[in-house]
Amino acid sequence: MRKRVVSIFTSVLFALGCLCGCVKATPNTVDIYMPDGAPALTLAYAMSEDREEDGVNYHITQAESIAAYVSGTDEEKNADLCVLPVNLAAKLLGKGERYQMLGVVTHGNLFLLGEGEKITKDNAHLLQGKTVGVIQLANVPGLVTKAALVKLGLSYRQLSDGVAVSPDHVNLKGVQPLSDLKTLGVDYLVAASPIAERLAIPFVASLQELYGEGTGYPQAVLVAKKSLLEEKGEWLDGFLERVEQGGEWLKTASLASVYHAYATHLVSGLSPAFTAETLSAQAVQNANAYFTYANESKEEVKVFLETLKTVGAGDFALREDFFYQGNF
Amino acid sequence: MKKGIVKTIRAGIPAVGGVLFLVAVWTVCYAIIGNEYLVSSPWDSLKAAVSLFGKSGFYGAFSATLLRAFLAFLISVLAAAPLAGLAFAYPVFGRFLAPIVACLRALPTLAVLLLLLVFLGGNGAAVAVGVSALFPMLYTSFYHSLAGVDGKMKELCAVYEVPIKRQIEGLYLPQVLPKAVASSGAALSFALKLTVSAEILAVTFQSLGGLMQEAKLSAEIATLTALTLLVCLVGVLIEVACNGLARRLYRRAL
Repeated sequence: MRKRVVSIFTSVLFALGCLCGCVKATPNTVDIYMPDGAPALTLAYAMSEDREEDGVNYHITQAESIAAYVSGTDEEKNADLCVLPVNLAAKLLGKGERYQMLGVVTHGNLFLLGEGEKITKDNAHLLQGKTVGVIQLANVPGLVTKAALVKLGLSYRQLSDGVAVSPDHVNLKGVQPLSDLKTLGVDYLVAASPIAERLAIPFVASLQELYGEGTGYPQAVLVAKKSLLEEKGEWLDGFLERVEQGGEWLKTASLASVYHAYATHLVSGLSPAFTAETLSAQAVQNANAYFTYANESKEEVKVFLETLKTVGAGDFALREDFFYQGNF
Repeated sequence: MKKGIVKTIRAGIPAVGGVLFLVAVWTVCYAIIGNEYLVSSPWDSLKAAVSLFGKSGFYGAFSATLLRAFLAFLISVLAAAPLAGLAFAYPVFGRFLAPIVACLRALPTLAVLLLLLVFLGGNGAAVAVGVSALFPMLYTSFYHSLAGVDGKMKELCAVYEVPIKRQIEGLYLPQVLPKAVASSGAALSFALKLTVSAEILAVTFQSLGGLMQEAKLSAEIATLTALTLLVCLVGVLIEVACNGLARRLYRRAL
């Protein structure tokens, strides 16, 4: 009996130990975590120069769990640098007490697919009365679609079973990724790259164009632990320079080298967003992956978060301290 | 009367112990993992659970989810009970149904979710997912309950040529019903779990699954945990109620 109790207790302890291992960093090294997908491409150049002895560890991990790497109560175990969706970063780290935002790494990768003429800001009213399917309507793609519509001055409504299509609104419907608009029962479809390229539907607009001034919206941001900013400021300057150069590098580098930099830093067991076959030049371009420093993108971030608030993304306790003000 | 109450309290002590054990494991996990995003604090989750009841849209979402779960259960019972009866009465029909039921049992939900969403919409898909999992479960349970009816009693009925209606009323129902009700409790609780999962996948409007998505999106992990606890609690209550009913029916059948 006692043996059994001891073995159960040991098993529980072992399981807890495994759980603790979910968020782990090696001391004296810089651990950088980023979600799989477009944000990883911005850091591809820096990752391509990764050396065993440089003390920097890159981890491309599941997008779903990325917030866990900055939420631990034991600061030592948290990521030193982390890429997060801007709304999540603002929600979790908006006070700027533990982490600060260094800059924006991706500027939107959502596209409107459909048949017929291209949709621009000038003829966006054509969407009125139409049904627009959104892959992941309840998540960031849905919020951004709503934000873009708000910016365009179009009112929207969310369709559910039994709700009729309104001729005065843009009717949004949550859908699954399918190439047939008729089957989905929609006129247009909003999808994120690289899924958008895989669907055999023409691109009629870029939400980046429809939302902003052609520069997109701040989708994912790079945050750094405050202690890292204080202790390794010089190293960080050099690192950010490489991240900034990464935008240009993506335009000229071979797909094989981009893929190699990406694939060699994926955490094990992850079903990657890009494979050697799906990482096309178009997918790289559509990722809108380039770095802009916090001082350049601060206002843009604030405006975007304000717009997200109006479309039901919750509240963000954003303070000035969230934005890193130091000289790069 | 007093004796009965004391007996009930005594019988409930191990269950309370189980609940306390779960809370203790949760608290220890929270303390050891030390990450609010992975395991939220029991206290914060409790507060979030209380605040859920004051949240607009909660009651609508909660009742809609319950309704979907009940509907999935009802459709499954209405299909499984007569089919199990027929399969029991006519073994050839049972063999005909066997591969269909086996296929349904092994069916990966996500594979058909697209199809269900296109044809049935978010509400219908959540119900259909529930039915696809509950029907084979209930069918098997009902069939085995029928097969478990006392063989000697069946022989006796055959020898004395008891009319089938009286056999059903006097033999089959009293023996099958308690087991069927008990398994229905587990099935209904399972239906709730499935419905919520399907709502999350199908992005169903006005649903507990939808509220969970919303909580996850805005990193309100305590709210997400509170909603999860609520689903668990309702599931447990349904199971306890059905088990109680099954015990009563069993006592009456004796």
